[in-house]
Amino acid sequence: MKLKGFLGYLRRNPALGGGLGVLLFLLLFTTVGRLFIDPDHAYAMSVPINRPPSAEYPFGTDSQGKDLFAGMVVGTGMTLTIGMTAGAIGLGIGALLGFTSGYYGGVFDTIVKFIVDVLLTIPSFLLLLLIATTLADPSALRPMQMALILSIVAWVAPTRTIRSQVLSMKERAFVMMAKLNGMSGMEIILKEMMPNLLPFLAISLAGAVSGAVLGSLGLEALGIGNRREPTLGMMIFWVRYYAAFIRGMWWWILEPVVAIALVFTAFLLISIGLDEMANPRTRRKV
Amino acid sequence: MTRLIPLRYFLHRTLYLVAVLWVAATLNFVLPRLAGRDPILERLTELEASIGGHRGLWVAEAIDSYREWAGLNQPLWGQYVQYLQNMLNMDFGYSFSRNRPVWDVVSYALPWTMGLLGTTTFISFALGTFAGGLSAWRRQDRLLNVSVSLLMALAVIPPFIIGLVLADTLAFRLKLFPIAGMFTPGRFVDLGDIEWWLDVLHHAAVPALALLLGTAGSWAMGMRGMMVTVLGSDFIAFAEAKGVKRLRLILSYAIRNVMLPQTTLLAMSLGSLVSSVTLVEIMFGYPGVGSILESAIRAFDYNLIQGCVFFLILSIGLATFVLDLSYPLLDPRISYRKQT
Amino acid sequence: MSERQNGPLLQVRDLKVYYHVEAGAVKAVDGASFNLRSGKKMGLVGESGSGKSTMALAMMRMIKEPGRIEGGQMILDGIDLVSLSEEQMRQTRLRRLAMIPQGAMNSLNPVMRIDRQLVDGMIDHGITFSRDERDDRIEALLRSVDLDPKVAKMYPHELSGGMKQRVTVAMSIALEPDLVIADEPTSALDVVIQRRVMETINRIQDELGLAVILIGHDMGLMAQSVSRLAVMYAGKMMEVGDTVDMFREPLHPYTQLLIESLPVLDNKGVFSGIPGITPSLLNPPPGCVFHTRCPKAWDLCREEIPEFAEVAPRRWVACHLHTAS
Ligand SMILES: Nc1ncnc2c1ncn2[C@@H]1O[C@H](COP(=O)(O)OP(=O)(O)O)[C@@H](O)[C@H]1O
Ligand SMILES: [Mg+2]
Repeated sequence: MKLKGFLGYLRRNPALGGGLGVLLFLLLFTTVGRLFIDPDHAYAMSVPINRPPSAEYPFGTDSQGKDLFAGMVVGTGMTLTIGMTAGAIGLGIGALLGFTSGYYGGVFDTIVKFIVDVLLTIPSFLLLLLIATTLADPSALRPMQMALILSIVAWVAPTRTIRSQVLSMKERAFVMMAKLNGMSGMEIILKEMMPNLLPFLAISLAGAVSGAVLGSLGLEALGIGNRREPTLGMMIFWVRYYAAFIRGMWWWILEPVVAIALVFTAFLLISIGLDEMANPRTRRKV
Repeated sequence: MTRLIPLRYFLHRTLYLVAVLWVAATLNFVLPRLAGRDPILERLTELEASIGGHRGLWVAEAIDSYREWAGLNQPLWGQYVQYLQNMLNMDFGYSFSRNRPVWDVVSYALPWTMGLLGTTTFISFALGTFAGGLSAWRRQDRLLNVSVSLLMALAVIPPFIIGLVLADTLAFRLKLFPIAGMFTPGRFVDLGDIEWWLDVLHHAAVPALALLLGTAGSWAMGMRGMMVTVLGSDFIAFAEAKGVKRLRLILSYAIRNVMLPQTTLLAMSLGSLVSSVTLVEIMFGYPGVGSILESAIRAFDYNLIQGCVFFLILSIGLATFVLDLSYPLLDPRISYRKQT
Repeated sequence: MSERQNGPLLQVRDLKVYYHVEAGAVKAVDGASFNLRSGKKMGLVGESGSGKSTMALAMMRMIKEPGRIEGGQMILDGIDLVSLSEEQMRQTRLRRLAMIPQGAMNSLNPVMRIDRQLVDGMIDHGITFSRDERDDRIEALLRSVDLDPKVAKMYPHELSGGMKQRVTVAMSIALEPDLVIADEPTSALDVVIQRRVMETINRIQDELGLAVILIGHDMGLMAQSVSRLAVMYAGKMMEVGDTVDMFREPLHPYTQLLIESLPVLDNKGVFSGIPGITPSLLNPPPGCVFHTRCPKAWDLCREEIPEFAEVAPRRWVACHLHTAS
């Protein structure tokens, strides 16, 4: 029943439907796809090198001897996992800071707002670069360490969005009522505001995840990250390292590029769709 | 001046700029110490151990001058004060991988990066804004809709990934454009020479195209959404009821108001634009700050990494500052509205 | 100003405006007719959603997608507005007919000073003036709506809601049009200010001899300031007549219900409203659109659409009670 209503809604909100569809496809590709590959072949020196796509290696192989089909299945999953982990942590911190600072206001809010604004001006990628190069051995970062580093900047945008939503919601009648009824601040945040802000939390999450993926791609393309793992960003790094262009290995370039495009398309469409859900533009004024 | 730009607002924005720069400088100082290491000293010591003899002597000297520059014999807060003083004096230390002061290396590359970034952002912003606005105005136009949608689809892909594909096709396969450098090797910089400029453009064309294709769509998307909102607003309807001419309706009423959120969008995007230009440069070996950054990372030249990052942040800080100051000129409400 | 005594200033004939939405055509105005003599003030009343704003926009020829004027005529001083070109219509706006908007809060361009917004419409109608003439004109206009001339140099956000509404009034009368359409001009303001702004509008109407169409949903309020009333229901005209006659003897059952439901002053009766819900404009009921809520409906009402007919001099009604013989 509920599922049917949801599917019906997706029909009216094609952006959300399309975005979730692409995301579902990617998730299936990385999970169900594992049934068709040998995960070991996603790593170097497991298959013959430099093979164009063929029946045996449908995605071809690279110059390190990875089966790119296996590499794409494992790597896309890894990149999504990194992005989602960092995005989720970022949203968690963002929600905590956004709700408390927006709701309670005062000096705490002023400080949070100031820090957020300053950090929004500083390009997060450069910040990540600085952190990644000073904190650890750049070429041996494990995926989860990468996710943690990415989450250091992933909370900024969600904090900003959630805080401004809380600020505008604070003035609304039902929050005032709850306050008059003697609900505590935490209760109001959890019981009254949270449910109403769900679409905005979801938008923030989508933004945070795609921001984190972008960050991981940028770092990995520079070789910062685990060079052993076949993440999408690392593929880009090796493509450049082995100058795949000069050697005409188009498949090696094209595959990660398509996967990356799909990932970002999915999250963009999802946030456009969620935005439509949160404030329907088609709502007509009379 | 204060009539156009309210003093309070001006001071507020200045405070911001200072805060951004202070945070940038402090991060450079704090991060390695948080990690409990001094990567510069480590690297120099490593080098000293690996190269002996005559050149080893040079490294030993470098270590001494680094100690002095960083004030390593002082307590932590003293080191910090000295660090900030160095920054204020534009003294960013020494890049051992380039064997030159960091300032020299970065200041040579910065104009190329800013030139590439400034030009492409200007073109992309103008083009995207125009296309987006037009497509909101003429929603029936098929060709327009298709091309704007295409731009929007491209904007989903990070510019450096687009760059990768363009480098493969335009530069390597079709050999239409050079693959690296900012002008043909061996040429001398000659600002008065048209051919030199053409050569520069030729070298910058593909990276610029990557940035353009990767960003124009997002301006178009923002513009279209906001234009649709503004066109549906009460004051547009009332202006139409007043019988103002169509051109005035578009320029003084619609565009004038859409430019406010559009400028905000531009200011907010500067950070990601700089990240993009850095990565695009690296993809093409375009020798701006991005490429220097990459080679600094390869050489573990932390002084240079920090210098590059600081200068990029400085540039963004200044650009944001200028945009912020232009805002009250666009929107008379700015001094009244609370900043959010 | 028009001196025509014979014949109406405005004749609306069988006007139809439909919004073409996914589910079909919303018949927001479906065959409405009425006349208005110059210098007179007419009230257009009806529940929300009955098509009043659509009617106002249609008269300004400002119906936007997905809406369209499907048919009918709007003859203003001998010229059919429906047949004018875009550019001719633009020139007609402000000069011949003007509008006072519903939401004065957002009806002014936020980034332009009041004086420029006051004159740009005039300039686009070919008026040229010297600097001094311009300033004098602005001052006179602002004074005529009881505003301080200093307002000229201000931005909209520096004005209160009432002041903004006065500014829009000043703009609409800048070229002394024959007809001003005011769509619930004060509904967004608080009661005291509402009254004062209405007083200003009434005074100006007297001074300039404008014809005014005042749109509202409160029949009682309306009765105090207009000489003629037009009652709309579900996109159709139900009854048109002089205010006094209509209150003395309402002919249409809908009008009767509207008047009965008015709160009586002394016993502070509750506003009862009219039972039932407004019909869908996508699939209007067959026959008379009001029959679903009409206490006096009979078979004919469910089958045949009543004709909108002049049952007494200058008294029009669309109801089988009065037209079926
Ligand atoms: N842009 C539009 N698209 C679709 N339907 C519309 C549009 N504008 C108005 N309507 C419909 O037309 C009818 C009349 O609306 P309106 O003229 O605003 O009524 P009123 O001003 O009397 O409240 C309503 O049913 C409304 O839903
Ligand atoms: Mg209305």
